[in-house]
Amino acid sequence: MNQDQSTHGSSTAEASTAAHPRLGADVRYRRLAGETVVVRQQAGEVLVLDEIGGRILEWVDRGVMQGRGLGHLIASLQQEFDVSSQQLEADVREFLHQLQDAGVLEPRREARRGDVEEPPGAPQGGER
Amino acid sequence: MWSQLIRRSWEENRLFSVLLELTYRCNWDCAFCYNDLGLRGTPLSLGQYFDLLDELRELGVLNLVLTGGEPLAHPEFLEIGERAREGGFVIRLKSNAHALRGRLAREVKERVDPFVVEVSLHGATAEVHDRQTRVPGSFERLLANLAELRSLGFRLKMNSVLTIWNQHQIADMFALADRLGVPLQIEPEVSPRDDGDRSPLDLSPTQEGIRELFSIVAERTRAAAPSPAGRAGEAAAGGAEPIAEQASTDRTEVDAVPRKHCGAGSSAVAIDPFGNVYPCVQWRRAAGNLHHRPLAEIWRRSPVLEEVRELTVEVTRRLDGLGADVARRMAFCPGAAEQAGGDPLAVYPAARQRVAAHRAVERPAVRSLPIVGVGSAGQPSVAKAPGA
Ligand SMILES: C[S@@+](CC[C@H](N)C(=O)[O-])C[C@H]1O[C@@H](n2cnc3c(N)ncnc32)[C@H](O)[C@@H]1O
Ligand code: SF4
Repeated sequence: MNQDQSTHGSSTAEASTAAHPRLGADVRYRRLAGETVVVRQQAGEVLVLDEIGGRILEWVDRGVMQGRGLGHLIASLQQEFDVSSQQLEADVREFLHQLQDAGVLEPRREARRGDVEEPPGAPQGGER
Repeated sequence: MWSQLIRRSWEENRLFSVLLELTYRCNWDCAFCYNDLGLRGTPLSLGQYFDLLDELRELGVLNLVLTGGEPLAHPEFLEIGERAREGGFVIRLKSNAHALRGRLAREVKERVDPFVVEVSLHGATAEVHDRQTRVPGSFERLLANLAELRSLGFRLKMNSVLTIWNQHQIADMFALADRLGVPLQIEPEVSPRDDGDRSPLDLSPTQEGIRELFSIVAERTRAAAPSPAGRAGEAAAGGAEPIAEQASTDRTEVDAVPRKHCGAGSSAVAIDPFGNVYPCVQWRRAAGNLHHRPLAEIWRRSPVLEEVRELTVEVTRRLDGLGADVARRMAFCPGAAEQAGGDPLAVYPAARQRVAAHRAVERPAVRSLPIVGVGSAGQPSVAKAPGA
């Protein structure tokens, strides 16, 4: 997995300044081979995300997006998908909204570009 | 979705659920407790628990059961629990809840934040409950603590073991659970002690007691069942799925018949306070010790776990020979079988007793069907069971 290496690529102004969500406090997840199991403890619900979805969730959890901006993630994904960065960005935004609607992510109130915040409990390593 | 995940982890030998018996210390003294208080060894240190939790996360474990003994009696429970929360585990805390009040309760909520706290209820009255726990006042204290835990926002569940002492209170226990708004699960089988001592079985319920339990549970299940239209509506809604109440390794949780009977040693292990690793809390064949080897190595290399994985396949084969209905009613546990008679494939008395109790409960319904021969065709004799 190479998501941490791909820091180059263009990020749109909108993407880099967007307020980034964070993992809900009651959410637990594990990345397994090819998929990610997400448990919303309060609702007592489980969701399964595919490989890319799990990777995006982990990025959010690790504070990578908040630190380096959505554009960083888009650039990383663009290396793997043959679609425009605009399309990718729209897809990722849509996915983040879906996760918020599902209660997996919650808005981060004071998101400032440049903050690198590791939320308590954020996984430190790569594949888990 | 959840059940499929669990089933896949059985097939792929992917560790998904770990049960930690943190200590055998306890502030209750239950007359039937299965814990082997004579077991000796070096307890795992806090550092070893931290390393273990890191390792479990690396291995992809999601479900973590913290139990004992009384897990809250471990002097470093909060540190271990907090580390587990930080590691992103879905934590089930199994506790008698006697100490879970006031500041400790608040700290457990804030620092450990378990998915569920499972507490033990042993009767519907103080007289019966306290007789079993051998701690006067434990019933009243449990009720008070449950109210407090509820107000703190804990998800709660009650577990009970049916015994000769409480079997006359089954309906009252369910009524109490309903009043408290806490789900109750009553286990119909008293297990021997982990060292093989069978004295807990002196408190085993009678056949009539088990039958009454099954009958009441069947009635409650019928009453609670949603209408077929409701179920279709739920399915159509799609999306997230309720997580199983218990991170069980039980075959009844999966929707298609898998190759393996259960996840013992295939997706789950239990670890005692001294670092001994077992395929399941009930299958006490030591597969290794964490003082000598890291869990990942035991998981990959232990001949005991390899054999257990094969045995769980063999159990399925044997049970299939008995017919699906008998197998389901029996709730066969190879660990219990091994403990009962040394053979993990042999049907043991308690399993036979369950089938008989189920039959007794179901018989009136079968008789009322205007179809000749259903009763016998669907219910091959338990006497044909392997090792019976
Ligand atoms: C060993 S206790 C540990 C957690 C905690 N101390 C408690 O009692 O809830 C875990 C569960 O095992 C049950 N249990 C203890 N001894 C048993 C036995 N001999 N047979 C069946 N269940 C037993 C308890 O009632 C409890 O629900
Ligand atoms: S409270 Fe739990 S650990 Fe303690 S004696 Fe009772 S069953 Fe055993």
